[in-house]
Amino acid sequence: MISFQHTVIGYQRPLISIENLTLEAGKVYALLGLNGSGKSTLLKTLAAQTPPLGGALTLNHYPVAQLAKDGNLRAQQIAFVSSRFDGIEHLSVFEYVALGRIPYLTVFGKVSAEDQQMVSETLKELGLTHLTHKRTKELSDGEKQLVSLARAFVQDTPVLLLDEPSSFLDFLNRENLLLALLKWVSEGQRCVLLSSHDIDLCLEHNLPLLALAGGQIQELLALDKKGVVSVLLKGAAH
Amino acid sequence: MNRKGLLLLLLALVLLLSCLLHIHLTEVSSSSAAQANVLWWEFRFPRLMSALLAGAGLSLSGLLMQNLFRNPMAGPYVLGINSGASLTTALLMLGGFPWMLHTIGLVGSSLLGAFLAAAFMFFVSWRVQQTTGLLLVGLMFASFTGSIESVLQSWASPEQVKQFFLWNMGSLQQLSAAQVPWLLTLFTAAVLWSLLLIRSLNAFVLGQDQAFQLGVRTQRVRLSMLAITALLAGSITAYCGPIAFVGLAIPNLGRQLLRTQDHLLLILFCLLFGALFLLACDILSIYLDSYFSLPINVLTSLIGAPYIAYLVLRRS
Amino acid sequence: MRSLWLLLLLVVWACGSEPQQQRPKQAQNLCKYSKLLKIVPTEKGYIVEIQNPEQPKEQFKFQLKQSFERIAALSATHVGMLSAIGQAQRLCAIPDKRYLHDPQIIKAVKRGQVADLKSEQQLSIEKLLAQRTQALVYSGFGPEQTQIKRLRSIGLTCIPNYEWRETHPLARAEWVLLFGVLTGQLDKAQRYFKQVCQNYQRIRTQPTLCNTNPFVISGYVYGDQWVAPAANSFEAKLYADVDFTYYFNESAGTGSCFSSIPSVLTNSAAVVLWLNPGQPTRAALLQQYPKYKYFPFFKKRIFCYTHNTNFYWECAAAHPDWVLSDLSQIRNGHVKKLHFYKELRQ
Repeated sequence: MISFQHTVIGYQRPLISIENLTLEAGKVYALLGLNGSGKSTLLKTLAAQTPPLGGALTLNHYPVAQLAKDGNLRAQQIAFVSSRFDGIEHLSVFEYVALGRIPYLTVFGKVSAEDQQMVSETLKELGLTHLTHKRTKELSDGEKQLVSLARAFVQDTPVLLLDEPSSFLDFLNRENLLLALLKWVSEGQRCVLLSSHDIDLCLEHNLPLLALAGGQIQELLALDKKGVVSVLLKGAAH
Repeated sequence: MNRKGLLLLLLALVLLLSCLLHIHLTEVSSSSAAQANVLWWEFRFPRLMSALLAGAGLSLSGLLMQNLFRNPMAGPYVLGINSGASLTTALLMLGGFPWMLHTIGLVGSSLLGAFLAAAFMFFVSWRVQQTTGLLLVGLMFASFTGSIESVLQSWASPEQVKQFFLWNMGSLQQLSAAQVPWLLTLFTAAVLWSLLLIRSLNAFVLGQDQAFQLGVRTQRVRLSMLAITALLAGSITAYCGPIAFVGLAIPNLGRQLLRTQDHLLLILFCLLFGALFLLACDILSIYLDSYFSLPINVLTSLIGAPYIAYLVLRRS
Repeated sequence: MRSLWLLLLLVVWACGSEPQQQRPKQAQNLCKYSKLLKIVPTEKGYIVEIQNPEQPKEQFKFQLKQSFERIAALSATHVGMLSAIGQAQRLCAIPDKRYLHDPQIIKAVKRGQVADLKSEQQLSIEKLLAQRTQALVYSGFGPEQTQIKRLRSIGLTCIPNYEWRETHPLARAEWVLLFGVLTGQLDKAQRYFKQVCQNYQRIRTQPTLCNTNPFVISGYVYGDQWVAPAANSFEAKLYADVDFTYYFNESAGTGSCFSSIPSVLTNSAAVVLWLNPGQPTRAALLQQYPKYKYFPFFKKRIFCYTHNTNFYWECAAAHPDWVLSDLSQIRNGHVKKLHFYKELRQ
């Protein structure tokens, strides 16, 4: 689904180089790394916001350069829940989630009955139906996080990128989030990449782990927490 | 038909009635059909059109500015777009550049000033992210252009100063029949252009990064928004003088009443209510005329400024 | 009780006696036309009393014992009045040379002999002191300015000149007497003013050539309104004295009056003459306000003084007879020599 080949990533100067790595459909990948290791830059590159400095990078077989140019294609291939969502004045949860349908709308931005149906269903699946008419400014931090996940789901893309989605959630909501993501990838040709500091949660759900350290990405297989931490620390020491 | 649609329909109805009232109030008994014709085409109709187009256009440009800067306190007046138009007009009227009057004219110079100011503020908005910082720069810019205008006034002849002073007060009665098509064309072009941006405007509510992720060509949309704003604010300022607070107040009122960020609804609201607001101000000034004559700018500020102050107080 | 009656009687006596004391003074007042200016000769000099037309309670009283050699003026009209009695050489500072007519004075400003004060709003004390100014004449727009008060406190004689608020043209011209007192040339000023009055009355009582009074409009579009001299202004008095029927005869006030533009458009079909349009040519009028072309009187005779604005502002107040002569010639249709006015070419 996502494939790197001799890819050099960075902003102005090289930060990460990836020789050969393929992320498969049907999986939720966890990207681990210390602060400053380049997780955000990697995600921004995948989201086509920052071009790679060299090599090849494709998402669902589309080269990232093409995705950067073609707005509609990009929006129909990649959804990105970037940083923390703060809420927007006068914007209801329903309206906010419906914005995820923008890539499929005409220029006038009219949301069809089908789209509305989809928004309602997604909210229901995430257990957020009770928030439908609430203002986004009035939500709790956890609710904001889940609502922005709903918006990304509604965008209905093969690739979903999440930047530290669990940071503002309590343990119950964290569980719900991961279960929702796992269910979502199982429903079609989809792949999720989330960055996280929550090693326990990732191990608990048996997520395939990608360790980003020292400008390299390493797939970690069958390690416990201690092992993961030592890889991250060793990489950072380089 | 939902509640929001009903509100817009009601607005349209009230606007229509206000137009009729305005037409009725400006009626003067005339001695001949030819004179009645002149009165209608040269005085009453342009005045009506000025109120409608300036109100609608300034509100729309305010809405776009607030969307672009993600700041509800943005507007063509506060951000210095009017000041830019005012400055180039002052250069033209006071600075003794008669060649400018011949080559590009009042409208051209006003548009040029509006575009330059919009570009300047846009550049500033890259560096100054905070609301207050941006507004301060806008205020500084306005006071800077004001000083230059004062300098120009001390050179200019009293006749020129008088002319510029009047223009600066804002007026809905200076438009001539021949100018109506020009203003109408620019206005229509700007409105159609902004209708084509609705989807992108809605995405911009989430910020430019998320808009990009939703497939918006952010660079192009940003430039379009600036161009539309400058087109509207520039042309309206050229014909009617700088009119304050309409562009700032009406979009905020729209979001507050409609409780939405759907820019289709907001654009419709701004067009309808903006037109209604300025028309109502003009009707008020007709009623007050027997007591004292108030420039339109005074009326819009008297009503608009307290509302904005209320918004600021409510937010903080 | 009795003492109360006594007190009351005392008060009544006091009130009654006051005007009696002033009566002889009024008899000596040299000004016949002016409502705002009083000049009373005394043994030592003159008492000049000036009434502020805005504030009935404010009266200025000056005891002038000697004349002034160096006088600063804040309005072109004051300059004109000094020139009228041949005393312009006493000017040490003038309002703004851009608005002056007299080439001699402009030359003196350029040579640096006379200071340019620019405007009443940005009065420079330093300039006035550097010119060794003894007296300052100002027009007194609005309330007394702090700057003027400051100047008085350092001993400068500051005299307001409200000639522009007079309602009779001769009352305006009578302020020449004030300048006569200031320059020690009162006799000359009186002779001058007497001559002006005689000329004025002669023109006023001339038999007119046509029987009907021409319907005349004055003023121009300013912003969203038509602005013109009001019915009780000195301009309207001039119009009346040459038997014009003035368009704004019904208006109130002694200054300017305002009217809606459409109402002027619709009610002016009978107007045959347009005075003081504010522009020297028809093309300039149209450039300033294109809709003038729809006004019926735009195609009639139009007379302006704006081809030589500075000359009018400097000299018209001191020469109401010239203005009246101009208007009279315009009225009779036999224009020989106009002082201020010019007809706009078709």
